[in-house]
Amino acid sequence: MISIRRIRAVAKKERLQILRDTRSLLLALGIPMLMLFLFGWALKLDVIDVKTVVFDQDRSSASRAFIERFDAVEYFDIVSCIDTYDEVERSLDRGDARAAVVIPKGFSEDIKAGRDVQIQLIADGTDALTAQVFIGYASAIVTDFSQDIISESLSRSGLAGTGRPVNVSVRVWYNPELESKNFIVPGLIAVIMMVIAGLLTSLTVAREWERGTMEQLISTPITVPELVIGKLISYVELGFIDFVLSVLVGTLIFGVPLKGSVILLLVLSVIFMIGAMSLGMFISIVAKKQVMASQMAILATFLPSFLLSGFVFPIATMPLVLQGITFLVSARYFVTILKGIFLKGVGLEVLWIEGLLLCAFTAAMLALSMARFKKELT
Amino acid sequence: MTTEYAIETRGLTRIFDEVRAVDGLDLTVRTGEIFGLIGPDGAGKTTTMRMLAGVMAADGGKARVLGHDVIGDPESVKRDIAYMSQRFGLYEDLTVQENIDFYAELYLVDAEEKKERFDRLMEFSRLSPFTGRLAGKLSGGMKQKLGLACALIHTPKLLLLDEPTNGVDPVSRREFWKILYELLQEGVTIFVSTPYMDEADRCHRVGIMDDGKLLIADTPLGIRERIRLSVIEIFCDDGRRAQKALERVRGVKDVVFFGDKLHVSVKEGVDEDTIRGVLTESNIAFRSVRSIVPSLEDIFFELS
Amino acid sequence: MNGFFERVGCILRKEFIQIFRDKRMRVIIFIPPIVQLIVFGYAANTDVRHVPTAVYDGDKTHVSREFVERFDATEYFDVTHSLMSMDEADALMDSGKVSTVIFIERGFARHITAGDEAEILIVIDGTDSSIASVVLGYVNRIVSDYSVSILVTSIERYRGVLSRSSPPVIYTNLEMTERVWYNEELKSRNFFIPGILGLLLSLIGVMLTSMAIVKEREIGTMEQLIVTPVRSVELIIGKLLPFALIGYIDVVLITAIATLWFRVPFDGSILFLFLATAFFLLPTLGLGLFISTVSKTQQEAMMSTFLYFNPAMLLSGFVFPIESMPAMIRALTVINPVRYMMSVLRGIFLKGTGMAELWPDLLALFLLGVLTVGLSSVRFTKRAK
Repeated sequence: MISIRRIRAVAKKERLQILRDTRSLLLALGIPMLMLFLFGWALKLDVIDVKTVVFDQDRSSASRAFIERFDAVEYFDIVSCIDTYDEVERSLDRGDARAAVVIPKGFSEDIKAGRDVQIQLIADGTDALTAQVFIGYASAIVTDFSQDIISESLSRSGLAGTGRPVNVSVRVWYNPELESKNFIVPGLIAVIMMVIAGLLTSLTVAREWERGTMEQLISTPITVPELVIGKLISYVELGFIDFVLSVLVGTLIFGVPLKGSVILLLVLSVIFMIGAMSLGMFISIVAKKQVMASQMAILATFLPSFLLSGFVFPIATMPLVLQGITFLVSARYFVTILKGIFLKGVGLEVLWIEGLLLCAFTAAMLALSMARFKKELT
Repeated sequence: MTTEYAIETRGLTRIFDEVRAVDGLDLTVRTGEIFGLIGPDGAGKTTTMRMLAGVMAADGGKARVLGHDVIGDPESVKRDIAYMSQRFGLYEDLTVQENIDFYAELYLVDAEEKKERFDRLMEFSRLSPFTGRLAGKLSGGMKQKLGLACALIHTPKLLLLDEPTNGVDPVSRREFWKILYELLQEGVTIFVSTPYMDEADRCHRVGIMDDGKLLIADTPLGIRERIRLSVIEIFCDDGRRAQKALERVRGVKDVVFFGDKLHVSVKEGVDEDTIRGVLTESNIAFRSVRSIVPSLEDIFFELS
Repeated sequence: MNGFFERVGCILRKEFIQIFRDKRMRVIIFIPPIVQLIVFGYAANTDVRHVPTAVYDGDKTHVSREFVERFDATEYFDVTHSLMSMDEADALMDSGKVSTVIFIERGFARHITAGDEAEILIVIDGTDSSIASVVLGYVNRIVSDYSVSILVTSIERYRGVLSRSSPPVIYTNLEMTERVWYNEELKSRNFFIPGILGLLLSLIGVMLTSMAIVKEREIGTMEQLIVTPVRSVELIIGKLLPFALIGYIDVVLITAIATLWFRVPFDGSILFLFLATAFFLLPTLGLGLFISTVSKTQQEAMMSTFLYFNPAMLLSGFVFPIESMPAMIRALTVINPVRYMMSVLRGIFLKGTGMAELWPDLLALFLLGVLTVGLSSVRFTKRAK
């Protein structure tokens, strides 16, 4: 009882409406491009040039050599040498610096005499993540310095032995240069798709109710599946173009590697999109008023895809309740799939679970939308 | 299905938050006639129409449309009817052509027939020069004609029109009714609701609704015969004073302003001379006092 | 000025009734911010702990086991798999079951005791580069500490062997003590939650305001108002005040949940927070107003809000530090009100700073507010004419 003709008619109508709505088009095509550019170029989680002040209470050649080690490294940017503790407080309070290195008086003497020395690092912990990282860097610098002192004194005493007992080689897999963009861009594409899908479709049904065109429409023989599928088709078309564009920008312009199968990528992306858009449509069906639909869309698409998909925040560290909820977020599976295909170059043999769950989500959303939609005025 | 009645309702009811918008409606519309449902805002006309079109569920009662049980199985009627909602229900961001194409596809009209009907519809709706214009940019009258064209692209047997000429200029209104009469020739049944009492007079049969109930349904003439109402029309200078004076007269049921005239509904016993007498006594100058055929509006006020 | 307050009051009353009568509207105002806050509060967590680690111990000596123990003993690493061969590592890393692998070669203990260089190979999953950087830092730290302890032990050993005539072996141990200010436990949550308040305020403020105003235009009641003796300014004020109030309610709500439930520190002054909120609301509502003047339908309003909000959020310093942005983009953030909201909120919550330190941000917010409201009224009156 499903007429392909009617589906095509609805798809055509939606397509025309989408094309004539410049603002939505701008959003659909512009936002992904904007986000990609920002993330690929401007937004870095890499920690470099952390503004640091130094409070050198010793002012010896030894202390200067020590400070030099901080300056030499790209992670720290020494902005000034100050003389009082008050200034340390002020610098951090005002945000002029995020780290302060305090060298105690007697630094040089203590080292020569073989007494233990304590360097103080004061860190602005507001941004916990970057703070952790640069504390780690500082700690490494200090330990290095310490090791050098020890091995120097060992060799002075004529003792054999290496400076470094343990030599660790570290290899980074999948993203060797630790470029944040390589990990961000694939996840970002998932987020963008989810948000666009949700935003665009969340208004489509509510809008027709509010404008009165739905009342007219339901007086015709059109069936619910025809209506839902017809509407979805044009949005999926748009989403797919968006996706291909994003992938092209990500790989060609930002050089994010694409090691896995392109076909698998495209197929899974279509499945994901249908699911995300069905969710948007479901919101539209339930909300009936556009203001309501838009708020619900943010809650149901933007929020989960950004927070709970593993895109920025790792799922493993979340409380169990939230971890459970992430199973319902299709973006989570898509992020894993994207990272897998882009960076790890794996295929279905590893990703089959995610693929399956994605299909399940999509099917469930479609069914829900069709079940909830009633050709009836209340 | 050739039955005598295109629409039959029995005890049709719809309740909104304890308000009985439609209250036990018993209505019949004969096949091939044009039936006008009149009544004030909130009378329940739109709700009735929505239920008959299968876009709103009923809370009680039965209704058969073209032989189908529209309350139990709303989808069964939709192929053979066409519904025009009170609010403009077409897509303002689509052109005239695109809107009609869309509706043609919805009703699965085959290509040849569509072309033929399209040309005819464009011709008698005079929308041909505007096929490429966005529906949102049409005037009120043209919008309604477009709505009608979309409704007719698929040869429905019954038209349900909810206040189709609301806010439309008089010229377009007249053209609209011309189209309706032509459709009658083709055997289409038309069920139209309207707040304009004068349009009701153009229908074969009229039903007057108020507060969810059907007060009376008959031919315009039949109604006037059944509700024996004498109405005297007065053209005078000081309407307010005249109204006050007349209202005190025994046998005068109601005095209503009608533009620059007064309509006085009277019982047996009061006639034009009586009125003239009252006016002269109160020193009110008048230009004419005469009996008129009561309008449906007069009858409505009598009934409610 | 006569009748000004009466007229504004009139509009206010109408707006309030409209907004709060609608049950759905009441829900939208309160539920989404709370839900978003709670989810964010729990999910926004970049603390790196319990990294699943696999170990291939080719040495299987007391020494090598002690080395591995140093990793497992910390809360940063969790040794979850013991590998029999190097190849198993591939599958575990690919599937994401572990993010770190430690390879210890045969002869590790021998090298250590002989004083030779011992080699360790550590593989890190770099997919998530910021986490990988932190992991790298931890790895280096643990290894360095281990190295130092080896050195110290060997020195002690040598000391015992030396005769009195040899020159004394002097060594110092350089230690770093770290003191973390403002967010002592380094909980990323404390960093994000004040930020979330800023984000929610700006998103809801702009979206609700713009859509509510546009809704009236869509339905057509706007024209009716313009005809009455209400002046545009009064109309605008009357329309915006309810949303300002909603903004304040949200601030109170979110701050309460943040401090009481999530135990985010609040070192600043509540009064200052309320004052600062007024400064936030200025450009936020002004922007909502402006969007409403360039949108014909609610849909356009919503899309426009998003077009603004997306870059605004990303360039606000919420997750990505502004200092790390290229100069051109950094310049752009100067006109982003959310950026100032971020630093003010974090300042109040975590640093306990107040007017003395934050006045430049407040000034910027004020200027942006004037700009947006100004632009809007220009467009608004043009329209009405």
